[in-house]
Amino acid sequence: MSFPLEIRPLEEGDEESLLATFEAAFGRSLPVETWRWAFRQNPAGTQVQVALRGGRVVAQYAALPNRVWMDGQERVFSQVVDSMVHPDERGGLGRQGTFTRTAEAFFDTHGLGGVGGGAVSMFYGWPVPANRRIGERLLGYERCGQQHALVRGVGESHTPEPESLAALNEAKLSNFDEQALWLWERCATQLGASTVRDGAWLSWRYLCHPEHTYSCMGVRDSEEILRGLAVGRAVEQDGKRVALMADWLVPSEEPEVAQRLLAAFEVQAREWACEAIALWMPPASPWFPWFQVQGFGLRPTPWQRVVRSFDLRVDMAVVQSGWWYQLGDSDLV
Amino acid sequence: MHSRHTLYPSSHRPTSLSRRLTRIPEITLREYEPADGEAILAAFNCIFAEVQEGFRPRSLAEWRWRFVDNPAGGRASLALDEQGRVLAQYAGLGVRLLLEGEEVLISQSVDSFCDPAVRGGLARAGLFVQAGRPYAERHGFDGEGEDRLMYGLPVPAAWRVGRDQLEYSMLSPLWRLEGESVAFERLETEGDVCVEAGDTVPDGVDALFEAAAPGQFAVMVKDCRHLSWRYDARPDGEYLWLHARRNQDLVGWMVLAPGAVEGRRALWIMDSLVQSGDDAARRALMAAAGRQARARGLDTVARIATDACREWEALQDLGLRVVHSGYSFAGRSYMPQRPVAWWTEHLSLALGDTDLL
Repeated sequence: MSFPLEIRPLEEGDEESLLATFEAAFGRSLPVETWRWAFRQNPAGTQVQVALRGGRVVAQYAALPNRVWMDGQERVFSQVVDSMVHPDERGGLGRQGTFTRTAEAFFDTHGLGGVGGGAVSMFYGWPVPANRRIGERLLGYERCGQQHALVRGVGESHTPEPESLAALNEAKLSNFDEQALWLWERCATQLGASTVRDGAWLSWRYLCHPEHTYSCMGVRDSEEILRGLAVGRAVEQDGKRVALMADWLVPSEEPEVAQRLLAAFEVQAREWACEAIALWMPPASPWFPWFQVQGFGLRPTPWQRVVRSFDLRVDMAVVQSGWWYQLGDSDLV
Repeated sequence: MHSRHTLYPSSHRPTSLSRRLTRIPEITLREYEPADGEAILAAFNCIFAEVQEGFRPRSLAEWRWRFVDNPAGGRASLALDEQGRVLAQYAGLGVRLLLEGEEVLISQSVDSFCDPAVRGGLARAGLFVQAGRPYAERHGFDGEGEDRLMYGLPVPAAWRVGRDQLEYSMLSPLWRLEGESVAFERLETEGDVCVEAGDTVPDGVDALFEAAAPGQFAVMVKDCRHLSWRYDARPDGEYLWLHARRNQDLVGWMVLAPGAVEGRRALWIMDSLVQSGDDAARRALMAAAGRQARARGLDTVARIATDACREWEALQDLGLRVVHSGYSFAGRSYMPQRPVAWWTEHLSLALGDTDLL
């Protein structure tokens, strides 16, 4: 006799069973430290719904929330990640199946206006095709188009550094203090909806990651004020070594800071022996044309972006033109 | 016969909708006929004049060119009142598509409207939706002579209604690729490709299309029949042809139009074709486009593209930069084996595949 299905938010003690199901579902293990970092240490909280049968986690629908500033108010946008169902339960991928029921319980719990009193205005992600199809068919995912990256070969810089850069100095950052928030606040008015990039978020996202080491580069002026920030790491992609820029934060009226920061990132990319630099930049951002002037070309990635909005104010116009996100807002770097 | 064909005969038979209405007793929903042109235009010109700044009334000749003369046909579902006035229209232009080597039909949804006086008040879903649903049922189907895909560039309000009530999905953002005329004019070109300007579709376009099409999963047919209608036969059309030849053979063509899209004045590339890998022909055409733009006092040469654009990298390599457009390329697939995601990856759109210019 099969056990009844119990669907509820994550609880203490689910961890071991959940990670075993993760391995069964994805064919690879997820280190417990990484799981804790993602789902227990995120400063914006934990959003995990699990389905259990006989005390064993057999499905998960989960997201990584971000505090987002939009139109003068804080909202929550959450990236859906690591959603899964145990292979034993895959017969039930339909509307009444274990996975869909877990997902709907998740949205009821965390979606704005849902019965669970959740606060998430929008869920988003870059799912693999199979998950995307299920999401579109059963879970209200809305496709927003291909994800593109701006890409340039290392050493293909188009513009010489102007002399006015002399007063700026780049530095590797090993911690984020209140200056990170000041910098984001200077940028925020131009960004539209954007994740609050304060010290807590930046530290969690980049400095505390248990598996990946990111290089955090800042540009400071003569008064040691942080004027710009770039974060990245080297990865292997399609047989190439690529320097992924996970984050870029520079006020748009300060191109000289951007110039110095990009030059510093390029030096780092060379040290990493990378062939190319790649980043995501929303097309509505002033930095989108700027990077093209620096020789970056827009290239399609394999990823399709999808969203599910629970907030009338976060409509497709906001998603397409008013949401500033970076690679670091995803789990793809 | 599919049951949907019986629902909307072209006769003026009232549908059950009229029985549900309270404010206006009789509404007829039916397919358009060529004789409806003047009634459709009267409503179209009146409604768009109120909502679109700088709107120029559409002529009957333009309407006939769109809906009657189009070699792939026009389609429209109309909602008419008792006096035969058109209150709402959901319309589309047929497009011939080569789908994995087989010619099929898809359609571009255009010119849909609803009289503001009755919008939303006549029925639960609104008259626009009431016209749109039978249109989709009548024309959208995975079968010969039917539209396998409907696409369009809806304005935000139409997108919301379409998504919520008519099953629109996003296919791709619409991108603008643009560059300075002077930079294209200076492109170095190879001497064996000669580009000439013309005012009609050149000989050899069919052979070039046949040579260029293989290997593409989905490509809109750009043969003499289509191009002659789209550009040469359009009333008041102002299109310029560029013909690229190598040893007298047509190796590429481009259609240009001066104008404004999204307020951006440019010499717009409506359509172009070169064989895959013939970078010399593409470069020569872009250089000629730069010269033509300069001769017309236009600083910019631009085109549109979608995510599936096959020349994406080559165009950027020529110096075109990508700009975000306010439009979205949206659609609805009627092929169970070709969901929207498939079209997203395989169907590219040129300005000439829209009615923007």
